[in-house]
Amino acid sequence: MNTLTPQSILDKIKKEEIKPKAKWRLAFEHTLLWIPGVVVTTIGAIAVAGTLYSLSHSGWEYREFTHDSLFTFIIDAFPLLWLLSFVLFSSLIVQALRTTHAGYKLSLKRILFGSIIVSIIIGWGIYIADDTYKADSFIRFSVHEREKVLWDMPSEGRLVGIVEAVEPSYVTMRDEEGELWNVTMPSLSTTTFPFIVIGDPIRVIGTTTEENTFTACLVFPWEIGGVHPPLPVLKNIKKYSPIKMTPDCKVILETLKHFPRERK
Amino acid sequence: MSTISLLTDEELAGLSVSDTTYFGELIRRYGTILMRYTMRRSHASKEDAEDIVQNSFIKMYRNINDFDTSLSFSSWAYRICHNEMIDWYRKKKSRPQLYISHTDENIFDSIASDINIEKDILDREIKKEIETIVQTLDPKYQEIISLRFFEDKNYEEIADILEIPAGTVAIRLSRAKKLLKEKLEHFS
Repeated sequence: MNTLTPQSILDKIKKEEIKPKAKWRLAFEHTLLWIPGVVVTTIGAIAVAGTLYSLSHSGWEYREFTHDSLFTFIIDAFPLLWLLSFVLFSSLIVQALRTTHAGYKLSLKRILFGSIIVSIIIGWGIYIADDTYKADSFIRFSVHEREKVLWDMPSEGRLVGIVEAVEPSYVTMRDEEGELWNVTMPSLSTTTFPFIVIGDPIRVIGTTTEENTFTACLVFPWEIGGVHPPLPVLKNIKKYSPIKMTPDCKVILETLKHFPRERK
Repeated sequence: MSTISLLTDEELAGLSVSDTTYFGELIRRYGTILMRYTMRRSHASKEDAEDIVQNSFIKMYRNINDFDTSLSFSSWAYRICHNEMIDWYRKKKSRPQLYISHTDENIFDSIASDINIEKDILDREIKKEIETIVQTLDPKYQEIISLRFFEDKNYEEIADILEIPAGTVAIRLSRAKKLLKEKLEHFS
């Protein structure tokens, strides 16, 4: 070095009054680097919660009555948007963590695996937590809208509506279009299904017998297993069918399983 | 020998916060090394190289409280200098190239040995060809070759300097050596 010497550098430091950054300031800057990682992990966790909720209420239990095949069911039920969001945010987490102090030492696999695990744990926590979380309400809303479209199909043996009156062997319910239905349950008793409550939605599978009259062979609460059932589980559908199925209902249900579906 | 020269780099870094004399010792130890690294890696003019190195030391001083003691000071210094060079290239809107000077000739033997090229074919022509071939490699491979063979850094040090996982260093070095060998054998 000819012109560049230790002294020339020290002189420049002195002349320009260059000082080392304070430790607190460096600590603050390092903390800021973590913010993008925390934000994307949180969003990834919400995507996990959305995925879990969507899967738990995908309608696996009665898919034979809603879909022609397992393939079409999977296409409909798979929370693709949530999963894509999760994949996107997982990759963003990698970028965010790489900028932190020691993040570069971790291989891509480790960062991805770690971020996925953390998102799943937090997402599961959001999923099982009390449903006053705004994220949970939003997720439930989107799943419910999908389900309402699928179940507002009396011509295909599916009906959904709000219970307006309850009698021992029939209920009156108002569907999504605002129409009133008398739902008779020849082999069911409303007293055996405590979820049939005025003001709450229910789903029924059966057949239309007359105008605005529906014969129900199976009846379900709107959310089988509650808001956050353990997941993913195949819930016991037998709980929602009569102890003794009438011959008519057996025929009706068998017919419905092979009924060609409309797509709204 | 003064007591300052007996202190380790890491001790000097810690003491530099309160007294620039200690930082001056670090500049003395690393000034020439970083100049040589910069000249080799960037082929910048002497003035530009001095600017890069000076800016590197100023950045080191400014961030001396941020020196991570889990790293060696050498790796940290190289990292800052490497990043300064990247910034310099961005301003020049060009890409880094590895330039090998006649003083580096003894390093060719080291490269040859590492990639299993027969030494007897490593004549002057092939040595010149190595320089050409290296310059055709992707900059990320040039960087690895530069740090491994010319700066004599190990994998962990290279990982700390380039801020990439050690596994990635190993993969890149392996690919770089493979490419170098293939092209050299084709030439010979």
